[in-house]
Amino acid sequence: MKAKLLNLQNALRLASILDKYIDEKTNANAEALDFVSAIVDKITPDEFLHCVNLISGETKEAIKQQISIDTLTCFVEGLRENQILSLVSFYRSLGLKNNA
Amino acid sequence: MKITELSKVTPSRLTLKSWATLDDYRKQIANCKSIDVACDLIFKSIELAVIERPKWDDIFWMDVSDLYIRTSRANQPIIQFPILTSKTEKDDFPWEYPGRTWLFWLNVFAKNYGWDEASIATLDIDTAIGLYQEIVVDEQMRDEWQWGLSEKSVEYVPSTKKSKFVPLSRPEWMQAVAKPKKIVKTKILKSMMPAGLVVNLDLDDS
Repeated sequence: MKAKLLNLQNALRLASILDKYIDEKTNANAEALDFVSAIVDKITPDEFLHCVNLISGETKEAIKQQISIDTLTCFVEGLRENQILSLVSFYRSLGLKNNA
Repeated sequence: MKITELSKVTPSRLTLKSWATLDDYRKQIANCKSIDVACDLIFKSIELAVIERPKWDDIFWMDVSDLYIRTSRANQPIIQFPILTSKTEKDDFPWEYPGRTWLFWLNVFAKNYGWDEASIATLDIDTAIGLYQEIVVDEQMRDEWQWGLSEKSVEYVPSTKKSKFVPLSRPEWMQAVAKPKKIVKTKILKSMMPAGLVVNLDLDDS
């Protein structure tokens, strides 16, 4: 399972899920693991599944059959490759925060 | 996902009608309830300022956001007009609707200068905002003159038994900015100075 670069629609969907788990004060230079572990601690299983579904393009059923470490690796890679902090920042700048 | 050449694309500066549409899209995005609709509006905004019509679904989001931000920046007013510095937040008026921005500008210039739609549509953004500010200033001056002629502009103060002029309030951006008071240097007679040895503790002045 490989993480993909997302188009705008899927990227904004991902941002809308993760927005509430990323603190506005998180520095763009923060170590990836610092905030990813904070997300993983708080995110619900459904949201996690939806995020991996967006990042990998695999169906939810296919993701459930994967080994959990592979799924987690794909999730972390997806956040890194899609520059999640910049993505959430762009999402917030659009003013969509409380609407979408 | 395609690696695109979008970073090399330079968004053009729009004329008033297209700029009003761009501004309208921005407002619609902020009130959007659907991500799909918001994305569609972002693509439309970019397409106003660039000739390229790529297949947006195949493009990395960062390329799109970068182009969208550059489009917005290219279409910001260059001159810092005081009228744009107002801090008061506008609530949504009941008569607001998508697409109103252009009709607002058309009405402003057609009413005040009698220009036709084509001439107004091709105005530069800075010229349009500058003229709009002049129109608002003219209206304020006219209102202040009329206010000065009305009874409401004079208030009776019982403590002094005199009438006082009450000026018409101005919008925040038209109010004069208070300058810091100049401290006047005062000479003091030698006889009034403290007696004895005076030690200057301010080392910078020594």
